[in-house]
Amino acid sequence: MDKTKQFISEMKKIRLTQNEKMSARTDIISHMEKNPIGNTASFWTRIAQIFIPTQHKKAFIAIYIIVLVFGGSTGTAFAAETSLPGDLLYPIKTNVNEEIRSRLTFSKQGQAEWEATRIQKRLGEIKELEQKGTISKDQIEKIKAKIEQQTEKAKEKIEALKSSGDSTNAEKIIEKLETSVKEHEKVLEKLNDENTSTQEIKETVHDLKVITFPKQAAENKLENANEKIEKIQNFIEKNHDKMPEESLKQAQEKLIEVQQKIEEGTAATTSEDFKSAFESFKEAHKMANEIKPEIKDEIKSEKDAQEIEKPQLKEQKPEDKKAIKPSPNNTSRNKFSEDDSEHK
Amino acid sequence: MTNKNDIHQEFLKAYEAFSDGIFRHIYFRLMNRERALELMQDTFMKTWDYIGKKGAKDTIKSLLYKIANNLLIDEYRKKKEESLEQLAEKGIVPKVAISTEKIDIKMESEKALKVMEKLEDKYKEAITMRYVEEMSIQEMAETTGESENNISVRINRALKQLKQLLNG
Repeated sequence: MDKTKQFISEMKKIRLTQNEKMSARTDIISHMEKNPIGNTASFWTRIAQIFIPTQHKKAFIAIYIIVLVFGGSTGTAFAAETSLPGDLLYPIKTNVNEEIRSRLTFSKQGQAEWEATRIQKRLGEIKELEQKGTISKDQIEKIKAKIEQQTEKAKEKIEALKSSGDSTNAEKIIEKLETSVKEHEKVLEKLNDENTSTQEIKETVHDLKVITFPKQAAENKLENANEKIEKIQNFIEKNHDKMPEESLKQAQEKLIEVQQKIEEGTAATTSEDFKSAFESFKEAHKMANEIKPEIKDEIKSEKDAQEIEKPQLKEQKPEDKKAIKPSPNNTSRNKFSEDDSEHK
Repeated sequence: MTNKNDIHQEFLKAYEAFSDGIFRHIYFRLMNRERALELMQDTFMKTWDYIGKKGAKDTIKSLLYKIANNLLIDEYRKKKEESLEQLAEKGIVPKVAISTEKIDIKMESEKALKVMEKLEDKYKEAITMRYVEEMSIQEMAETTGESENNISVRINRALKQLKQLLNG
């Protein structure tokens, strides 16, 4: 093997000289300049057939006209960059420009980062539209669909990065994405109503974390659930004299159920079934979330009863939002908690 | 946010990373430095065109090697069709005349090249891709379109023949 190794190391020594490399580079660059991709009319015609689905025929026609008028200058591709959902050039931005960039990025890390960046771009577009005040339900649905598509792509690339041995960077990318979602949380909450669930957008991104890093996701969720339990226990302590006895009993029973769920999850963790563990902790968190509003309900109705001097307690349903004093934590919790929405 | 510059930069990064590898890959198959340089350049330009027209499903590395291999196949076909005189005229030097390459090759490398000549083409490809370009079996499978199993077998046989040539 010695001779073979030597042979191979000799072969490796053969490489381009600096001059050769530079001179070829210059020629290649001039070829690139002469044959720009993404800008010429013929390119767009072909690309349009591949990338732009027929529902965007209007966009395609508009672009064709622009290209004819401006002679296929860099203007069009550049103009597409700042477009928002609903603009004619928007599909160019997402389906052409961004796709080309995807294809050209060759490192696994670069690819994963780029796909994650595309998701962040979608979130930014929601924010921009909201600030403009022109956001429509339709647009939100479109962006949501794109985010779901994009998350699939990102998942592929992140898993590829993980399997190639670079878990650290894969994790960093996920964390960055999670931070980004948090930053857009306010806008998403604002736009959240019965017809448009931006909650699902958050879910989609959070799911990405569970799929790619189930262990961490489970650990985080356990933390969340435990924090919630603590908060509730504190709340009960503070308010137990205001609570009717039944309600106190109920709350404590519920807490026991929550603890059981957590034990389920912990058992799953020991057998390395992190996905089930995550689901258990998530259930626990959801159940815990329902306790406090129920208690508040009971307390309020107790008060009401005393004021009106009615001897009976009104039966309050936990979904009865109107009886609860809105607090920043509470408003969305009755419909969905942060991590609460129905599984698909 | 100029997308054009982004694309250019990414492609040039690929050039920096892979130009040596592609050059070497072609050079070992053709044994002609000048022609290998030309084909290396062609490879990058054709890859650029390809991406522009069809996008790229594979990684850039795979695509580059695929296109390089296609250019090599074309080159071999040309060689077969031409007579020796025509070959000499075009400047494509047949395998024998290694002496013109002495410029930056040391004595030992020259010997290595002579050995390379004698290796079968498919074995050459296997050894250069695996050990010189350090591609994984998976990458090689992607690039050549063959199964990982075939490639493993070929690498073993190539190493055997190489050993024979070096020791014989």
